[in-house]
Amino acid sequence: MPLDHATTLLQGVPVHVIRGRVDSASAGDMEKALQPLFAETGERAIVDLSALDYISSAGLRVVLLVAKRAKQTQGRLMLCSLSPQVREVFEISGFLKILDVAPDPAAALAALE
Amino acid sequence: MPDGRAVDDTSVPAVPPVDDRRHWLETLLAPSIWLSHRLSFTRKYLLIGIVMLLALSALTVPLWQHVQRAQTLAELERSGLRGFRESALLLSTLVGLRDRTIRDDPVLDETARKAANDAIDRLRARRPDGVADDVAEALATRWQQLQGLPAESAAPLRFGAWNSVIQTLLTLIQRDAQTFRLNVDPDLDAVFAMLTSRLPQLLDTLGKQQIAVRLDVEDLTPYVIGAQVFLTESVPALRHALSQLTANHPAPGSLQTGLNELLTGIERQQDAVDRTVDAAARETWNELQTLAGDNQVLATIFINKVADGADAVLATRIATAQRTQWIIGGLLIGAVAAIIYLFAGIYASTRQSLHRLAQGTADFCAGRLDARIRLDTHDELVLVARNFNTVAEEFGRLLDVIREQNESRERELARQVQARTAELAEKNEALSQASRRVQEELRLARDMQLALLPQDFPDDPAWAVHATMLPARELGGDFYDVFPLADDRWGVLVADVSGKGAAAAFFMAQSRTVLLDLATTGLTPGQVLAHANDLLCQRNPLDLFVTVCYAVYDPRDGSVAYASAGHPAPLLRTAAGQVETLACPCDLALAVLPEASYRDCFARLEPGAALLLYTDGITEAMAADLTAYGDVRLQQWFARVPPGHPGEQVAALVDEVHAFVGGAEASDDITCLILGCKETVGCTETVGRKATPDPADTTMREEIAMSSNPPVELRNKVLLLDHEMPARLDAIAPLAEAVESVLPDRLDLAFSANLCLEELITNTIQHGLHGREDGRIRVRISISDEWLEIVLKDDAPHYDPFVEAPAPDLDLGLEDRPVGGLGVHLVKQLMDDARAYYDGSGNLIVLLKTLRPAADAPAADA
Repeated sequence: MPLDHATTLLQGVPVHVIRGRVDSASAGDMEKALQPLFAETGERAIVDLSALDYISSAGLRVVLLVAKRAKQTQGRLMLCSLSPQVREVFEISGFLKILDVAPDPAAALAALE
Repeated sequence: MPDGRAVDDTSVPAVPPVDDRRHWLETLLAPSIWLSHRLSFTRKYLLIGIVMLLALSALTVPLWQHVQRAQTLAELERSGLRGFRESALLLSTLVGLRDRTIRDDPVLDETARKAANDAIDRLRARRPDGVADDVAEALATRWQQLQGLPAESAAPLRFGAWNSVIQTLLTLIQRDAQTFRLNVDPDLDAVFAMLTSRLPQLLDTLGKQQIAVRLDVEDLTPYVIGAQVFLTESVPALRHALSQLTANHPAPGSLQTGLNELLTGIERQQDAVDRTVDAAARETWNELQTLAGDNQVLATIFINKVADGADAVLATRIATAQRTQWIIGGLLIGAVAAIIYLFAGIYASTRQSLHRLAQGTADFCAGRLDARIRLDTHDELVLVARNFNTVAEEFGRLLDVIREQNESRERELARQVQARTAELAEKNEALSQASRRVQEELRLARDMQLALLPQDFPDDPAWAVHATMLPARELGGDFYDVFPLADDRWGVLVADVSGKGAAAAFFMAQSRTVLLDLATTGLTPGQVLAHANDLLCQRNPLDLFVTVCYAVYDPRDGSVAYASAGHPAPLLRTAAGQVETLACPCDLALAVLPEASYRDCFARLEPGAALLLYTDGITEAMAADLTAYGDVRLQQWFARVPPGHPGEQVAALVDEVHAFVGGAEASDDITCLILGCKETVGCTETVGRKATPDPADTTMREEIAMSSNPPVELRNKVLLLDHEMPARLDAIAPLAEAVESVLPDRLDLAFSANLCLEELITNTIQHGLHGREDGRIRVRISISDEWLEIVLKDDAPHYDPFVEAPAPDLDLGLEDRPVGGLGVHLVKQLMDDARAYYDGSGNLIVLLKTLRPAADAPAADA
């Protein structure tokens, strides 16, 4: 299943839903989809990974880039709804220590407030 | 059309274009051309011949019919003329009989009367169609009536009856003339008019005049004179008719004489009549009577002569018509014969020419290039033959040129080949000499390298060591050593230098010296390796590296301290025959990264136990079917090998590997070292890593547990997937689908497998192939009772991701974390075992993952 990206608003905060596979071939698409994020200072955003079937180091690189950009622009990035496999990859990579992760969008929103 | 006008008036073409005229002509001739295109030469000629024959016939037949009609008409006229002769004879007879009857001649000429009777009967019977002829019937009736008259009847009555009969006969003669078309003959109409009308009337008139004169009645004088008027008036008509007969047809002179006599008689009669009128003399009257009688005879004779003349003319005409028919027939046959003859000749000539043309071209096409066509005719086919001959000549000349060129090229080639061959032979000789020299030097180097390796091994009553190294080529990269240390301890090591050949041999000698020097200083194995690494890193121009497993054995308590630098972990076999892969951190090979650290690990040899150090030349020894000897077989062999002297065991292992490989060429050096603790001496009972010297160091213990090889025994192994793909990023998604399809119940395993495969394949593409897209990758996934085995084979140059990729520092903060470098780390973490091999044709990566459910896995607990 190819990568799919959709954006909704949850109480004014954009929620980016990434669906499908993020591998070496499709990581570019994800990077393009999240490119507009954190262009200005103090932005807030939630990335919902509930429908993410697969992610490899190429996808982790994109997530890390976005997180770095959030940090530089004093923005806040929340990841939420990680499946067990995705969560394992994030954990092995040490990402759970440096990224903000919530169980679901509501919790992510609460953390942002 | 003058050219000047066309030049002057360029806007209007003065001459209609030739193409237009030709087009017009072709349009007109299109049907004929169409027909001609569909017919062979034979049929074309046949068609023209048939058309000409039809045309000739169409012309000839009407002519023939015309002549035939003229002939038929002439024959009809001739038969009419024959009938007329009979009628004229009958008339003459009747006129004579009438005269006698009037004269009351008692002696009636019975013969003449009978002849007349027969003639009348014949006239009646002459109607061939049998249809009653009213004129002939009337003649017969009146003749019968005349016969029925009594002899004593009055003369005028009898005269009238006779006149009636003769008049009917005259009518019959004229009617017959019409029936037989005598009156319409273009040449003889006047003649026939004289014959059938004028002369019979003249004869009758003469008869009647004679009778009138004989009766000598005053009343009849006007009649006699009137009759004479008729006779005299007939003269011009008779002359005209005779001139017509004689004008176009040569007539006998008697005819003219007869007419002259008749005309003279009539003139004399005229004279007599004139004199009678003047003198009324009796003599003259009698003379007239005689003249009339004579003139009757003359007229009868003349009638016969004219009939003869006309008959001769008609006979000539019939003969001419017949001759004309013959001429027409002859001309037609002659023309047909001439046309057929001419056409046959033209056809034969054309056919001969065409045959020669076809034969010549066929011969030429069949390869007889000297074939030429000779035609002796003067038609257009000669041009074709001439053109063919010209082409053939040119072709032959061209062939000669090509042949000449080829031969000269071949000569040049042969000369070059000869020169090159000589040159090559020279170079081969030089090469051969160089090769012999190199071989000699290599042999010396090999002797020297083997001399570096100890051949005498310690053989203590309590323990013994034995080792061997079999180089794959002249110079190997493997080495081993056994050397005594202080405190009665012994050092044993097995090492494998990357690469082969002279460079590896030098590096091996250097490494051995460095290791040996450091080992005798009393450092722990880990420290020895760390120092050796630093020293080797300083002088490593070829970026070689060496994997080492170094162990220090203390015979007093059987303890073994060991450290590994990227080398396969040692195997320990207990006295009970249980084989265990010793925990081994698998640190970096020497000479890769300066200041690397190496951990010491510890084990203990019980009595009867044995320690096996080996290089990957054993586990990666390939059989002919490309299966590797492998860790599992090695462990199984080590478990079943009978206890004994290490020397025998080393020899048995070498034999085992050789038997497995069969006749295949060795791809790597084979090195193994066995340290055996003999049964006779008691050793401590603690075993393996449980005898860790510092149990409090839990970090190290976990590390050892994490990195130790799993007890690899792939029971009931089943191949799930054998997937070959191009080394391209876009081929990864189809691979992922294939992996998920073979592990439908364990998508967590499929996730891990896909992640590791992607990372390794991406690595291969980026670092092994450097972006080249023609590489091929083969992935095999097998499942056994407890393990998922993933084998990844590529055709890239040697590249070991597990050695070359630095481990990421997971403790750095977000801002300091480098982007990337996680791939190999993920593989190492997700898999329970990950190894890379290089077999000369590509890299082989073997991954093992436990089948324990995800819920039990330590990583998933978080």
